[in-house]
Amino acid sequence: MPDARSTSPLEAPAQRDQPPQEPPSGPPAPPSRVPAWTRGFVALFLIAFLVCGVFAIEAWPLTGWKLFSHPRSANLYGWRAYTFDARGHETKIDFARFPRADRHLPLIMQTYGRLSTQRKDAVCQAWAGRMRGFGVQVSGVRIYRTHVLLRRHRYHRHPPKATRKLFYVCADGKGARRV
Amino acid sequence: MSRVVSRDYFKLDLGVLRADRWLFQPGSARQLAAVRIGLCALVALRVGLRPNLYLDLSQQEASLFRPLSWAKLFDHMPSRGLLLAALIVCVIAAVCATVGFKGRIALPIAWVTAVFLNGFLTSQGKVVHNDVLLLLCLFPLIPARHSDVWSVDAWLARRRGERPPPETSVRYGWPVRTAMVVIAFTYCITGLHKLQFTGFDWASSDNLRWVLYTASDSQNGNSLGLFIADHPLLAHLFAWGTLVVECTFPIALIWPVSRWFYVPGVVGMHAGIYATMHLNYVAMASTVIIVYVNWAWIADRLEQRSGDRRRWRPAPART
Repeated sequence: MPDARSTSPLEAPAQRDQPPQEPPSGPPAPPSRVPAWTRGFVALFLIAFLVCGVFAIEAWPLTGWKLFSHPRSANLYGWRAYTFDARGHETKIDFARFPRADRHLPLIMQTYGRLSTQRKDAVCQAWAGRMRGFGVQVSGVRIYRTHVLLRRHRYHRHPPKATRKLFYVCADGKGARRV
Repeated sequence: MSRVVSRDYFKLDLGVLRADRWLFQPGSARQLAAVRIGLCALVALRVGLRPNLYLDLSQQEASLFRPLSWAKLFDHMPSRGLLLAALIVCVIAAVCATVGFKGRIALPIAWVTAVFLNGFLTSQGKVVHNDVLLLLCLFPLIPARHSDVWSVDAWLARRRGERPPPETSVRYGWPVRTAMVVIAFTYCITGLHKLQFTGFDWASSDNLRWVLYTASDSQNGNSLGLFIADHPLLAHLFAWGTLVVECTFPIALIWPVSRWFYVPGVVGMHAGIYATMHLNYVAMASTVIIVYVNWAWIADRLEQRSGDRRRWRPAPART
């Protein structure tokens, strides 16, 4: 095969795709110029891709590409959710037992504070319903903000003990409220 | 002996700076076909091998639905039946596009259904980037003539006695180059966002160590992640390496030989992320390999080698 056509496995198409010195006889001559609609299509696609990327706009599948871009500090804040029964006894909500799409507590909590009271309560009800399905007595849900000082993690396989602070309470029939 | 590596390969290709001319110059039909085969096979595998990931979405409570982009048209996740139908159509269409059977119809169907399925996957509260690069690189192939060679369609056309398509044409170059640009700027923008939101502290502070400790805790302890996090110098080294590879990836467009650094660089980065954080970006890494490797060159070498072997095979003895 002619080597002028392709020269290395990671080569620029600009070089590797040069037509051979002697064009093959027989086939019709290919168009020498890309049609205007194709140029427009490529231009629009690349502009949309770059605008969404540069300005971090989420118009999925066009995306802002914010991957691990925000700074992390030694103070790690997280969330934990518990159900409680009529006597106030707490049971940790084991999200790993939930259906895959319902497991994402940290993701839900990212926007939880901005939800209406009704929507907040609906989220709690969803979790409470799942826990009832596991045979747990549920009167309401408590959501705690947790804090771990990662600086103390060094040379330890397991994280230092987290401190927690009650943030939201959803009691049956009373709706969700911030503590 | 024929020339193996062009001298141009080591030179800067400043023609890239004239984007219009660079994007729309002639390209190889086989390279475009190889990219079609690779990306469509990847879609078929990603969707076909993880059916429960998509089907389980139907079990989500409506109150936990966090739609993004076009998924906001929906109030909740679609039913299992609809997801299953989309999944079956997606896999069949992606397989058809891979082998190039009715490729120009199958590929858009595979793309639309894959966007549909992954769009709901990303509607759980966090943008899921795993398959986005694959889908974005596949998008320019939708209107392209990707099945002119290395396809069932091409084989059928040959059997009908139709003229073979040209090996190179302006029709074949732009989809692959557009995908190359998308990949290069995806990594560049990702790196620049790190600088925008965190600055050089992303690499010079303990930022990566905290990321690794957190990721390790979510896996009940990850020895490799903890080892790197426990050694700040090592963490800085990986952080700076990530920033350099990401921010400077577009150099791979200008300077072809640098692809020997950038392609293994990002593949290594994704492998490292998987080993330490258990985040699977195999679709991104595979997409980079599929788009940036010169498959036409490899096919040439294989043909040449098999030709040489045939030439040197001793003739059967006649009795």
